[in-house]
Amino acid sequence: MRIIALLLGMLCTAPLLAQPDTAVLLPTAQITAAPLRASFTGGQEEAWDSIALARYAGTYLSDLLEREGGVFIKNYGGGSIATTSIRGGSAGHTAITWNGLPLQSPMLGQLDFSLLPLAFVDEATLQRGGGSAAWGSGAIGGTIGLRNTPLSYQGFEASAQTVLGSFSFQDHQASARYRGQKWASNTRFFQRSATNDFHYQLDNGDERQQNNASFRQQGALQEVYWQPRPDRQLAAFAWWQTSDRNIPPTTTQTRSEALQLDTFLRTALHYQQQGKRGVFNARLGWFREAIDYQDDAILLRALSHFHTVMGEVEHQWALSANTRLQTGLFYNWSTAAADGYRGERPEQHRAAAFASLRQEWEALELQLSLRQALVDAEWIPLVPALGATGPLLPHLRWRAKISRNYRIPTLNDLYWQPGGNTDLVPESGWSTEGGFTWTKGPWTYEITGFQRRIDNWILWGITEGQNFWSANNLTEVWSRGLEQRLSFTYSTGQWQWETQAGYDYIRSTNEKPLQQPRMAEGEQLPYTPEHLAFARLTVSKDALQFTYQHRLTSAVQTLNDTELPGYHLGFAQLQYQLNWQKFTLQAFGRADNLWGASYRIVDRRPMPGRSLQLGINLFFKHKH
Amino acid sequence: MKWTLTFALSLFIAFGYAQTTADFENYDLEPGEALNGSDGNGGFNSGNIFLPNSYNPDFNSWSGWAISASTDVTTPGFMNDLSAITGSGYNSTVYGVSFASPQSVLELEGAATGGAVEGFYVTNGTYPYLSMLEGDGFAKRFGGESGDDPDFFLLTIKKYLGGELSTDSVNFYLADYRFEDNSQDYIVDGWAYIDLSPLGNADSLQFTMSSTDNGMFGMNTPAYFCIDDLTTTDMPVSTGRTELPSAHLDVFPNPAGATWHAHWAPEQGAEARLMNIRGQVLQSFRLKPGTNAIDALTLPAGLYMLHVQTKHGYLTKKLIKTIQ
Repeated sequence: MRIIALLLGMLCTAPLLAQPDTAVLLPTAQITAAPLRASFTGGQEEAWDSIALARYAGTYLSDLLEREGGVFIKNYGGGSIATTSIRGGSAGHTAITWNGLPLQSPMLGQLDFSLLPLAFVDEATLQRGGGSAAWGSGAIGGTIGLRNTPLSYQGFEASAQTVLGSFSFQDHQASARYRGQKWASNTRFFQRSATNDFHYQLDNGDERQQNNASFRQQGALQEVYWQPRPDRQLAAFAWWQTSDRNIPPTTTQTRSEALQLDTFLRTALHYQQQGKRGVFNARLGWFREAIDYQDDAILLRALSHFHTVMGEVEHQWALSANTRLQTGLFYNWSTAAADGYRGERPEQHRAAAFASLRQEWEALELQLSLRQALVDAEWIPLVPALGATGPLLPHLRWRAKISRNYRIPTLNDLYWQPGGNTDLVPESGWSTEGGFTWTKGPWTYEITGFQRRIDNWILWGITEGQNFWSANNLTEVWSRGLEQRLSFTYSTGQWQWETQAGYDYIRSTNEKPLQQPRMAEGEQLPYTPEHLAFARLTVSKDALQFTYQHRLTSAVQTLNDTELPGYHLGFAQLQYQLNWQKFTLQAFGRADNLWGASYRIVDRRPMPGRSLQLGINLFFKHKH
Repeated sequence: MKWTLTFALSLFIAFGYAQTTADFENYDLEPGEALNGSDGNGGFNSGNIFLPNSYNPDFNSWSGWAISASTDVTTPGFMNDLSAITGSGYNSTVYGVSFASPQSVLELEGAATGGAVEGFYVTNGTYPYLSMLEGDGFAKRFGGESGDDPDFFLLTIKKYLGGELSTDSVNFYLADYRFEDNSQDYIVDGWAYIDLSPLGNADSLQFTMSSTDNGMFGMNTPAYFCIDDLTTTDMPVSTGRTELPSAHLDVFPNPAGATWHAHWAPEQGAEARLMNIRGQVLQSFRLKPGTNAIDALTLPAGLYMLHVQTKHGYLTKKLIKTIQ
């Protein structure tokens, strides 16, 4: 047992906290994504552990990604739908996994990030660039991995948190975590609501108050871990959540009576066994998610829901001290119901086999991955990925990666009536990237260049002779850019300094002239900013911690023949921590949009001005 | 020749020809009822006009024209796309609704073919009216955020004559917010008369809608308008304008998927034009006596018009292309 831990531990070069790998944490084994997939050689990735996530108490995954990940979040306003664009990709080009299982809706091919509280996440990773060889459909712009973990020690932990803020914002969370000899359990609840009746500025300088914008979310996550023997573990997860939000009027709409209810139950089982030469993982998931959209004003009610069942088995071998191999099989069945399917219940079967080999020679590391998928009896072209990294100079490493990636059409693209098109082929193309990492003392600097072409890009438009919208493989998109990250960590006496800055330049252009939708050749995609920059400074002394973040987003083209100007936003947080015996009390105050910028992310959708939040967090921790 | 034409025209003005008004009351709808083409007939007739309709039974969606007696002037949104903001026709119950995305066409028939259209009454549909007045999830409220945006919603009418689209047009603002003084801004909410005499003689009319609220996916303002009491002029009996007996032309199969076979009975050939419902000429060819093949394979499914002209008169046949 200990030998395996040692062997696998030796293979891991990254610090323990940032390393999402499995076996290092043995004997307190935990459920994880497979290491060869979670960290692809030559790729660019970021990871947040529970300590980093704690800074975002009471916020959502989208807040973390846009503040520290340099990810563009297309947010329709407080509590409203939020989707991602990574490296110039569409919302469907971000893959997201929860304990290794994909979370994107089979109907829409994407996830609403406004429904993902960080309170339900223990570790998050962001892998930029193509990841289809590891994660399959949709892993084109990037892959976000979310994981839950049991306590790392035997004992008990409980916490309760309340955050109150502007626009009647309330967020309440509670959790209880236990770990014994063979059993561990995590139970978490959250409830979040706001009226969101903020004031915003019109384009002529007048002020208006937002209405019909309130939301309420609540959820529970239960995890049970059973370790009958030290080398095997069975984990069960159940995540239930509901969201009830009003859809506010646009800035050019007098009133809105629309509302949307989102309900889901996600359950999963995960079995893990450590062998002499490797780790075996089996995962099983069943998700049911429903959306009920109502607009009484226009007599519209649209109900939809889907079920998805997925299973995966994979084994990772340590063939030698320098060679690791992973092979696996994945299967997914989805079905959905919606008015647009005209009484039909479309189904989708996806199966895939994947393998990955990592080889190290001295300091040079190479990884080759392959994935072959079969979707509804149609073969998807084989997707390979090849990455390498090695030292160039003292303190300087290089990395390079080439991969083929794809996204299969969603159930709506295929079967929605009118306009669904069963002749659609997957979007696919090649991505290349390369970069350098320079590390010296407390400094780290990373630069990455990438380029990607995706052909058969699916868009809804009107084609010749039709009078309704339909999905078609309409265009090719060429994305390329340069990403830079600089970080610095330093301690002077009782003071601790941590800074991080990032700047991304992204061109993502349509490569075929289109009439419907109207897009010129060489035109930047709508809602894809060319420049994204952020900087963060965290200073800690004794029980106090201060964080300031600033980010800049450049202008974007909208869908309405208009351009939205760029904006920059400030965020500040002051936190105080008091420890008393087994109790820890944290109190914090934070200000979002500190400088009161008047800005829009989506045309005609106003964003709140400065908002304040005060929070208190009480922990109890008992180690056996 | 020129003199003859002028003489004929002066006769026309002096004595006037018989006029026919299409008022759609022949459909005898009760208030609240509407026809959206679900009977699959491919269109509607009233007076001397034909209003093509394309109906998709799978999606229960229509385009082109509908006939309505809907009275709903309060419900916004696309579910209420068959209502006029007046809640009735012009001094009547029944009226016509057009979904002009991107265009719609109205054919003159019988004695009106090739004649002048006097004019018609127009108003906004409830759906576009309320969308312009209050905005919706897709389209803007006219005037924009501040109320000062110089928005407009414009109906442009052109004519087809002999297969050619006129360059002249008649424009009518269904909404106009371009005034300096915002109190003068208006959205048409009653029946307004449009004089079409500047267009002159026509075989068909083409309606195009445009607005100041556009995006990648075209016009955001819902592209609907309503008409009533369209008055056509009956042409004097002249050889060219005589409708030939329909027995002259037999088309089979109809509907067709790949090829229509047009059997032309007379011994002399004729000029033929195949047009889509927007009045665009897709094929021009000579119809020989006997059976002629007309290729339909590459055409989108829908309704087409085959217009045949001889020196003795003309004939029009509706052709239907089905999905292969």
